Amino acid sequence: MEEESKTNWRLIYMGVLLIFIIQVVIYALISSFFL
Amino acid sequence: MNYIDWLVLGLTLVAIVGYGTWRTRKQKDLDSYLRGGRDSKWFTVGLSVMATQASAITFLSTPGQAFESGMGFIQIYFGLPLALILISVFIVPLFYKLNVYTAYEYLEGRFDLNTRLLTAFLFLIQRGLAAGITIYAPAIVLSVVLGWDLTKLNIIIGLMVIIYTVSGGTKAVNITQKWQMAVIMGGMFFAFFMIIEHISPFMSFSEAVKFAGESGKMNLVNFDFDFESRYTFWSGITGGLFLSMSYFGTDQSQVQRYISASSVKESRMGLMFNAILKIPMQFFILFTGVMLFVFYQGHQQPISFNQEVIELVENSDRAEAGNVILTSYEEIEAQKLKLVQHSVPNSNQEVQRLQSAQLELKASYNELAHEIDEDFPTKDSDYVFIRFILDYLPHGAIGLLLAVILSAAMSSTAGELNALASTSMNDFIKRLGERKLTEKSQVQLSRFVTVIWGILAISFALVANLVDNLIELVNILGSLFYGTILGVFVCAIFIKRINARSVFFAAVFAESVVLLLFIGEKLHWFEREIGFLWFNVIGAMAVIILGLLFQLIWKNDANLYDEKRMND
Repeated sequence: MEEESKTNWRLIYMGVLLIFIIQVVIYALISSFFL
Repeated sequence: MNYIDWLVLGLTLVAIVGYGTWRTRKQKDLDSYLRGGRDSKWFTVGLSVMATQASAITFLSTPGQAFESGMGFIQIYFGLPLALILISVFIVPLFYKLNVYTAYEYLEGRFDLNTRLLTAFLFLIQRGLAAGITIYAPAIVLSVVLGWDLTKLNIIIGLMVIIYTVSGGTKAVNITQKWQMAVIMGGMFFAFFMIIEHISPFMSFSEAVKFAGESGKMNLVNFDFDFESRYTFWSGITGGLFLSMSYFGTDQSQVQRYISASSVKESRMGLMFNAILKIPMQFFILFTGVMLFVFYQGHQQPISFNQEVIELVENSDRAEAGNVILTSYEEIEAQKLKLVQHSVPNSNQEVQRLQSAQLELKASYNELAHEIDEDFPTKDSDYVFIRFILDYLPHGAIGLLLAVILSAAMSSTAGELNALASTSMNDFIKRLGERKLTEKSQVQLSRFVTVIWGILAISFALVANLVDNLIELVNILGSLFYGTILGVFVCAIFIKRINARSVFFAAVFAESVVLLLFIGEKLHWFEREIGFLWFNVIGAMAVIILGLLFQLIWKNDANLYDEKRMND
């Protein structure tokens, strides 16, 4: 049970970071598009 | 404003304040008063964390920031998701395990009373001043555009917050913030769609984005290593990380929000909610500002959005010089409006050229105002969004948007007063007081302390006189103290070998260094300017490095000191 909840959190954190990285990539693309 | 606006504004605010006060009318013990009885769900916590951070300044000043300098400001939030993850992993379980009321309580167990009191004291100074600004900032703007009396407005906003914060404590703050957030987001979406609606007769949405991009407003990310630029990817990801770590991890106004969750899990979920949504929300607000920039290419754009600047020039002996600038400005404005409103093909470059010429005239006009009264704040970016609301939104919607701004002012001020009260109560009065108080008198005393902080915040608001962009000012003020507080917490959690005396002196030195650098910068001692986000990094690193150094120097003394403490 303990192990499972740990894994879940790790997944959530990875997901949050992934969403952040995708956003930065999109923003960088928008910026470079108008350069 | 007409009676419909007053009705919408009045009903929205009274409903929220009334609901918060009524729902939490029975607060008997200190735990439910200061931690909301620890039964909040993640959604309430998440929204409450968001509402505490998003003050009225966010909604008044951020669109203006994007209007003026584009969307690069978003980079300040790049450190936030990682910071919230680190806080979820390391800090949340710690606060729950130790069952603390304030973040600083933890430091006494790890170090000593002096360190706890020092960090709590730094927090009280910083947040106490900031609470004044969160009331003053919207009040000054509203008083200028609506002609309301600034003093009365400061007092009204302050008193409304005091009513429910005092009566219902943390719980009232949390549940009112949920509704305030709903009003805020609803109002902002409405304003955004109204801007697009007004642009549509002369430009499609994609043309508007293209125009904004060509005018340099879509500069979201800057990867250059430029130490002087306020907002780059690197300053955002490092300085922003430190700022967010300190703000969410060690600032009681945020800590109090997430320790009111019913469990570690709910608390973490609330923080992750913010880690995902904060940047898109800021993107949306900044983008609203950029669309406002496009909007004002096809609509009459005043030489200053702050009417007081124009009045200052017109009523002075330099009025004639002002009129010369104003006439040229209006001639260019007429040419520009003609091009944009008639959607003349391939005219973007010409419009941008005219816009640049207007900016130069605007700068000369501001310079003239500055010559007339050098203390007069001529920067008008904080007035852009509110002018649009008043000039172009239908009645009813104006009332709603004013409710948005006042709700935001109230929600963050409430979070701040609540935290100031609990820190004064827990870290000073209860900790240092000799008399043992009953539960009931502790709640009464907490209420009294909240009132005192409320009055102090209103007083700061009444004497405040600001010149810089308001949203930057709040962040600058935070950055001066946050680094040191964060450094102390990093030492406490991660560097076991540092003990109380070393960290205490390291913190005192680090804070002095940051303040000296800030004063030095203001007095132009250095050739280069230091972006304020770096103060967070400098403060935190100084505490850690000096802490380790003192620990080495006082190695033997420190051990003796620790042993003595253990025996005490």
